Amino acid sequence: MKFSERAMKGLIEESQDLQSGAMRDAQASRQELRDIGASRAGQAPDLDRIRDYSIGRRNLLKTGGFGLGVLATGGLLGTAFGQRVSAVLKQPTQTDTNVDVQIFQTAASLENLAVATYGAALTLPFILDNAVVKAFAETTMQQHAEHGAAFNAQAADLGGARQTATNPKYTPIVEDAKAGLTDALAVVTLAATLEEVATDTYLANLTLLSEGNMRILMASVMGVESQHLATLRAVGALLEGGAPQLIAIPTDVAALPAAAGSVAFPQAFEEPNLASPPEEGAVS
Amino acid sequence: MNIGTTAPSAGDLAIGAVAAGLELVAVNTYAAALAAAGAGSIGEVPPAVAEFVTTVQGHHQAALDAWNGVLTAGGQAAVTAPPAGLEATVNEMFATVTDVVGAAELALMLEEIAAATYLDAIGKLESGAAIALAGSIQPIDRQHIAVLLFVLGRYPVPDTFATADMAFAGEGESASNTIPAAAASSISIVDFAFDPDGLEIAVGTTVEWVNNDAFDHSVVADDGTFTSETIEPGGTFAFEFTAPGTFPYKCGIHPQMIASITVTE
Amino acid sequence: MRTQTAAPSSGDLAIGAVAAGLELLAVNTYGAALAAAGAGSLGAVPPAVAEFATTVQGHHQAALDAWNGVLTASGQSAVTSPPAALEATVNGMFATVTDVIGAAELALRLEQIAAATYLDAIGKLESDAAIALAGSIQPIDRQHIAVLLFVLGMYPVPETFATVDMAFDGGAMMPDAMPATS
Repeated sequence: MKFSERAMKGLIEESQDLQSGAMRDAQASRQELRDIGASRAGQAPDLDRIRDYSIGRRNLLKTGGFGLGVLATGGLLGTAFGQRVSAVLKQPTQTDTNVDVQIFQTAASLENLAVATYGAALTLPFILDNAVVKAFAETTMQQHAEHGAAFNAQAADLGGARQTATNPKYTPIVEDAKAGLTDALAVVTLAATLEEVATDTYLANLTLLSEGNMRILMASVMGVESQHLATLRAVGALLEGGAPQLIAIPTDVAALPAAAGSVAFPQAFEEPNLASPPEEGAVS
Repeated sequence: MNIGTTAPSAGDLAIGAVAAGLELVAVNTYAAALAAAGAGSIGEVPPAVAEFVTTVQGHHQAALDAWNGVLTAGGQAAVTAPPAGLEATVNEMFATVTDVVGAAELALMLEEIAAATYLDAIGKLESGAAIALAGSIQPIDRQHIAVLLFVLGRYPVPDTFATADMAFAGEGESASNTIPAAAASSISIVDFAFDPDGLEIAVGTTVEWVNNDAFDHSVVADDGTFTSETIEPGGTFAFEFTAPGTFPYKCGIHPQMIASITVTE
Repeated sequence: MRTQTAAPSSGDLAIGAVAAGLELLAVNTYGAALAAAGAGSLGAVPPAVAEFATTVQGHHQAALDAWNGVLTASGQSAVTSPPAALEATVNGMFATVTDVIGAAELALRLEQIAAATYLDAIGKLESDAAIALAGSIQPIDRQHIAVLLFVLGMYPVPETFATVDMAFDGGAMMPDAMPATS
């Protein structure tokens, strides 16, 4: 079974849609942002809506993302679950530091998954047999490990726990995809999706973090994930175009198809379409 | 002279008494940490840390017993009280410990003193028995250090060579030190941060950065006053500040790592 | 803790003006490169490189328009000329470009300056709108860098962390740094 990037993105959107009704408020915000992204390919981001989304998102995170009204509608108020949730809602709202910690923990979980995924790729014979691709996988895996260490150091510095597990949402998706990794293109497509999730998540985080220096760290890593993504898009295009011999350093630039000059960056502005929310990989 | 069969000399016994005193400080300090943990006064204690403390306290008790065996076999009294000045200082420091991290840092300091003292002793002892005993304990204390560094989020083997810098010379007329102070002009690079990140020094001070992290770092002054090459884990960079001023700097590899040094007249 | 200001602050607008000036410089430089290519003064231009220059010029034009939108929405004038000293330096360097390699190396320096300037800005901006815009552009410039490195025969992702070393503060001459190598 050939791995399909579109199918994987469909799985991601489907899993997002399957969230419980208690997260409906948060879900609405995320859907809104996807709508923003879909309608603005090639255009500048709608800054007003992004501002409102970010402020709303921060408030949602601080209040747990749902309200008593939703519980009442779901007939859950009288249940043990409802009572636990009510108790949570009566607690003081989360501080900005808690949100910052969650952001870095989730970011670390994505890096951990990237390390594991590239590591798994490096067990595949068709990856090991290609020196250029193998070197890229090894280097990229190490870069992700250092990213994860930096994110965890920031979480610990803020008083939070270090996240040593892989991202809970995408780990099963990657596991399910493994059976379809029968050639280099499938691996490249999977890796590119993970790099895009990371890039978009870190972009969305920029307006949620409370300190400028934290944003510098987040964007510093985002910039490199975007380069991984660009490289994988180009490599994927060359594989799909039947020109694997051009995946070389140095390459024969004159022989590159014209599309190689633009396939790496289809849009003028990055949009956080695949962004993971801060709580996704949080640990207590 | 056959070092292997020579009985411990008077000098060996004096060193042994110092070693026993240090071991007793360690035993007592780990016991105090366990008591504080049990009383809940240092917060949540991870299982691995509790196991570490219990085990290491046992090591130091065994070392204490071994040195006291050497002393009594040499006709001297066993050591039953720690060196008073050192004990008072450690107690003072322990009173400021409020969590596991603080306790681990205090333990690290004691282990470094112990390991350095044994290394120094290995060079001065005269009898085979004493050298063998000191030599059998020093590496165990170095291993304690490695685990404490790891627990504290630092690179576990930052030194390429163990040193005797923090050796304890004992108390009394011949003693020339109490607890060796960490160099005020030393900055540790650890966990993607500079520690301390705000350092005040006097003109003429040389600052040494030590990379105790698991990744390469560098030191780059915002105004270009100082710039290091890449500093690998365990590596160092030193710079002498010859003019007053405030010098913000950062890691050239990791832009979020920022710090500052203030130099006064 | 950062204040979540609704509108870009005066500091944000100052940074936005610098960003717009840089984008305009990039637009002009890619335009000059395309003109030189069309005139044959760069020698043979591979199709992928021509595609790259056209696409990336479009990205920088879009970014310029976005920043000018921020400026005019806040009552400031749109930026219509690049920073003078930097433009003079780039013009001087462009005059020495005789082939695609030289053009790519110049483009690489500009992209590195742009990306570093945006990273630095992300740490200093105050309003969500400005942070989001800078954040949406920086990764694209980093992707430009990756492709330029590849075209120049270098490893496309040599850095583990993007840095602010080549950030442009609006006044100084071009940072004296060579393009990143693998």
